[in-house]
Amino acid sequence: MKFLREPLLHFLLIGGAFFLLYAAFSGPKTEGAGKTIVVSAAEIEWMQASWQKRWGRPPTAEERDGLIQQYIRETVLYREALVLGLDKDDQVIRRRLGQKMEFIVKDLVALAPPTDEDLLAYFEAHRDRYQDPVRYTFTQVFVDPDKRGDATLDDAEAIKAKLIAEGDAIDDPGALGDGFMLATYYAEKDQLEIQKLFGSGFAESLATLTPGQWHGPVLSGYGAHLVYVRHATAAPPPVFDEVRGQVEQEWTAEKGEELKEQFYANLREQYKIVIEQPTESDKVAALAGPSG
Amino acid sequence: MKMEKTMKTETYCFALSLLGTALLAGPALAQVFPEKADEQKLDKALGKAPYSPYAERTYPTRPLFGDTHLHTGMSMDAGVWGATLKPRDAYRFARGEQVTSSTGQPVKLARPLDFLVVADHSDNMGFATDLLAGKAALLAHPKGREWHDLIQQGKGGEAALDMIGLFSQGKFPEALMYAPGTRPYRDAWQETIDAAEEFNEPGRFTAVIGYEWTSLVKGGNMHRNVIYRDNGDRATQMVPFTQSAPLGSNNPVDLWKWMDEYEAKTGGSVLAIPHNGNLSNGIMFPVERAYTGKEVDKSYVEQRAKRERLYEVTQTKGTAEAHPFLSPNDEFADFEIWDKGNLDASQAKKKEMLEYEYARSALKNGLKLEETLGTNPYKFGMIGSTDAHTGLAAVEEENFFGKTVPQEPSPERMKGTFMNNEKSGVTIMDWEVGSSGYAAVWADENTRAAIWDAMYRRETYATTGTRMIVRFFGGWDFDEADTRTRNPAVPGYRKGVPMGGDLSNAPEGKAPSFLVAALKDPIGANLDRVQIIKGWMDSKGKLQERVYDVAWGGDRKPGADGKLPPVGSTVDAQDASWTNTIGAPELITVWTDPDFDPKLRALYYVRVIEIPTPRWTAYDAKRFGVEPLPGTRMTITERAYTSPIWYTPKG
Repeated sequence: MKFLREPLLHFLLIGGAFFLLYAAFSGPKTEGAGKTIVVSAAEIEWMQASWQKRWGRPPTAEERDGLIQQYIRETVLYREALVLGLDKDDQVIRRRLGQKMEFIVKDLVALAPPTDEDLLAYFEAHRDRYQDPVRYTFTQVFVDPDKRGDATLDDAEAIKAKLIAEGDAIDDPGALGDGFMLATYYAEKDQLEIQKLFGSGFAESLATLTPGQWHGPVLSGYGAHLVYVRHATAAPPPVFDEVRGQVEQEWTAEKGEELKEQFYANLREQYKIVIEQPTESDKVAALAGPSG
Repeated sequence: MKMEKTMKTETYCFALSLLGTALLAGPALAQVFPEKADEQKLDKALGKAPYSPYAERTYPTRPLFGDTHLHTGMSMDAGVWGATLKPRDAYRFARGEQVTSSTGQPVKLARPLDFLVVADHSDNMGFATDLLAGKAALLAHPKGREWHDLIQQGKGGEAALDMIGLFSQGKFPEALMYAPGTRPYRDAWQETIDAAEEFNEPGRFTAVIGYEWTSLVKGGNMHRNVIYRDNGDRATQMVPFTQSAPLGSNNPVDLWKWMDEYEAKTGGSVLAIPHNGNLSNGIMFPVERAYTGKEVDKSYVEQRAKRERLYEVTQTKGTAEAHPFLSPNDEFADFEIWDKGNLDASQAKKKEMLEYEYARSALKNGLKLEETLGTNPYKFGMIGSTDAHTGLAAVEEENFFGKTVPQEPSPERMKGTFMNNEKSGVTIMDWEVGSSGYAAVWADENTRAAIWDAMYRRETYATTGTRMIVRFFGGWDFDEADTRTRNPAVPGYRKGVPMGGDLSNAPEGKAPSFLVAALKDPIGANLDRVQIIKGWMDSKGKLQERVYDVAWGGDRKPGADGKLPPVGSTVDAQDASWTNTIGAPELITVWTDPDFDPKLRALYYVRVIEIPTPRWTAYDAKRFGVEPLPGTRMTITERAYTSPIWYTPKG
């Protein structure tokens, strides 16, 4: 794969792909023009720039000539390869051209800006996406299985009983549990942030707890937690003007995919597709062949 | 804690805007305030209750995780490899959305990242996209207008075919053709900035502006990522520095000059993060002479110290903290090593190059350079990043989307050859590519400025893809009681300096003590051990290093040789599974240097090692039912490397 890093190759690949397009679209005309090879000044400049990038200095006259000769050699072989139709069954060339086509289409659809009506309709259809998440304010007391082993869950129940019994009188609930690097009290965290702190299992459990009482043990990747949710604060409904930018991003992304697929579907429609089921002997041949 | 003026202002602004939101949000507010006074007692969980119920007055309990080094289809090589994802797709993916990869596969992160730097190669940036799509020049041309109208009418396909037709006849508008310093190049940079501006959501997800300066010296990797503190208004004022002469240069000294110019012109701030010294063939961390033959002098070390505050120590092309040849007594040094040659595999590696390629030896050499030149050019902190060329910062072992598009998941990907050079004899297989890493940044808030400031003060650590939490503080008075506080940051900041900081003025008769705490990734593996690595220059001017095991899981006792026995392994490679039945979820300790000499320069950094888990290759083998090539590594011990704390004798 080393060759993939060569600027010269980049140049040739892209240049080559252009020739392919040219060949593909202009058909038989290539043959007449095929016997002249013009090495344009721009191409030579390009070769020199690539050389400069690769070696950190410009090529000497001799090296420059070498580059040109190499280019001519490649072009001659390349054109002859086209005449022989060697481009036809080449996986790499097929894939590359396919990608270029997709690339072009993707960029084209990005050029059409949506209207306000488009965005508003999209916003209405996907309201829940723009709803700010519920934020939780909670206290958690950690019970460490590493310290307590098999007694962890029983200890957790005992600590919970104590937490409930002490109720309002409690000064520092965290002190009843074990040492832990995360904080005991978290204010106004959404589920995503809780997930980043405690893992997704804990975050999902927390969302189901009734505020205003001790729950648990709730399990996380760290161990057991006793949890007191103080508020679950729902955000107000989304306002279009505030999330317009995000709506536009998503509309563009989705529309892009859609148009790309539509474009493909339009092209595909023009083809009659015949899929032949391989026979057993074909399968054997494919397996025996060079599979890379 | 050091906090810059501007940052404070921003914090206040942020708080104000929160307050504003709260006031507007009537119903939400009603739910919050009528609670009883007894809650104030609950709020005492971490000391005195804050008046504002929205506030947490404590230090952040987790760092921000991100990637400072991600390529998209805007990078020329990524484009040639087949990457079709662009910066907007990359941000979308990093913030947790599902996207479709360049190979058509749906992909999503287990958890969002907190920030992302799209760092496309500056040389030829946007070349592929501009060449193919002609976006910028389109509207300026009559032809472009025609296409535009076609698209407006929903006939994008027609326009595309017309474009291709013009391409093939060589009649495509010249303005589209790429040349350094041209409009398309500037537009590519603008597009990169626009994407970042669009996705930057302070407090939630930060899209940091940046690029990669891709210097190659005879195949030796000298790459640096340039990271902006600034918003688009400043970044847009100058196009990125390239390595191609005459406008660019492959000498880092010239990049630093460009950074000076940028800051002078815009009033902005940038820093540079080098990477892959392991592929530089001995030129990343010079001690006597730079690769140009020029002496490493006062000017070089001062500029480097100013500009290169961090080093990307782990990524897909290998981890380069330590090398077994340089650190023969460190049994954990042999980790995801790439030591066969330079970046393009055109020149094989020689042993004598290694000292100038690996982070640990560079950190040590920096002490010596500081002694002779007065400035330590290698006073860098650590971060990890992906260097993926797919637009996807996906480096969890069980969700690895490769370094390049051909290395996205497929039954073939662990059998391929990444590089092969018959002349140099260097061959690197695709399975050697690592699923690594991420940058952890102890920023006070999730904004461009706060992240950059934490990077500048080196309050960062590298991980190989895990999201464990690591705290590291150095001071003169830490004791065992500090390990029992529930938030180590509280005594940490009060009594010492955090990772990336400096110690000096040793009190009479005292040795530095370090408070170190690590908490496993909430969905990851337990921790095997915490180590402190000390590097120092002895009284004869010789550089020394030693690795101390300071905390570990389970009932292990160090042997007669002082070495802690291995933690063991629960990995079933065939099944790509493991259990957290060994190791510990959390490790915390205070360690005091037993051999401290106040007259000697020293540095200390932390390495936290997880218990063994399946490597990405094991997941591939299982999911695709593929037999790995002989020699393929199937397990990994993920880890974190913190920025060092330096001790400098007085005077």
